[in-house]
Amino acid sequence: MHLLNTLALIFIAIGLFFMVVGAVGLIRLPDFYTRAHASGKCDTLGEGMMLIGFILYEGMTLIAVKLVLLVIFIFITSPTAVHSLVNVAHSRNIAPWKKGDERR
Amino acid sequence: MNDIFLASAIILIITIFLCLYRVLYGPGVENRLIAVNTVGTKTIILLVIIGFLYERPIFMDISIVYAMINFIATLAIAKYLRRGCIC
Amino acid sequence: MSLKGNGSPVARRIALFGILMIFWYTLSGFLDPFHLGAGVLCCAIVTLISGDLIFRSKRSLFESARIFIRFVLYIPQLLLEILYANIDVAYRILHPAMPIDPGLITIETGFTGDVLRTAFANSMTLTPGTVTVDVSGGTFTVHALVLETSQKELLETRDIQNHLGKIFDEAT
Repeated sequence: MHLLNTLALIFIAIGLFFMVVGAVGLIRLPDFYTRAHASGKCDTLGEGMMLIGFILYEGMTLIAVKLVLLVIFIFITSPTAVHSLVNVAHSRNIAPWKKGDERR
Repeated sequence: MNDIFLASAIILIITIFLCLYRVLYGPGVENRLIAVNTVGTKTIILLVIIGFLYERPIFMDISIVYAMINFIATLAIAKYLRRGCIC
Repeated sequence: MSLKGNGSPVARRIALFGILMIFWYTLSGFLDPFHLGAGVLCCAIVTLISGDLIFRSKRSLFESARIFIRFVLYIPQLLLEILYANIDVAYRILHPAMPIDPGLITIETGFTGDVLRTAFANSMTLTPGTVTVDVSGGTFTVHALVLETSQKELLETRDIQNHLGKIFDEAT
């Protein structure tokens, strides 16, 4: 039991780190497309890691099954949502940031 | 374990405030939308943590429904921006 | 009920009803007559309205199940690559000088199936420092965070592309 709790703690800490990195990237990165990288990758993995930590903490109950469903749902839908937003920006002819441009 | 949940909830709330900077000052509607989407994904985790803290399993169902609504809302807004109508 | 082809409409609806009932029971957790009755009613309404939306591929059910199992076996490797990509992105975000060099890449593939194209676009968004910008037919436009490494990975080695093509039995 103790081992599982420690493992859950490690997963939650790694997930929290990636969530914080995603938020920092949303502020630091220079334009919309690069911000989509932070939101699409770091947030998805951070969320999945934290939920896996909660599953390990919870053990084999109905709540854990629901959290597994939530993880599967997030790993399918989160990249799709980011792709739809990036596609909108591309169809409105927003040019990607190049090295040396000023940040916007 | 409850203290750790509380601490991670507080850190998540701080990251939500970091994202709100992008919602307020982000140039153009796309930057704001991607920040709102990020706030939504963090809120899902926050709901799960609240469910564990107050020992109410009903919050897991709420977070599943919130994830679905967040996804559908993002898709609907993207479609509206692309075509000018939801059709 | 034959397993060849798409299956009859009634068989597809019965399969959808079964899947929805399993989902209902997982979410509710009660087995008393009231909750089961409400579940049967809701699943029947959903099956009547949207029964023709699911199982639209031309493959047989047996082949679809084999593809699903092969995809599930591919998931651990995908998760490891997602972890590596995330560590790379986190390093580039937290580095004080931000060593990024973004740009757009176009990738030509021979993919046609809907599920395959969705899986390819989503795994490209998640793995090698890229976000899928546009999909039209088999052509994917991709925004890369670091142009050179992503070009090497997507246009020369084509790791994910070959893997997914092998899993779904389609020409890359």
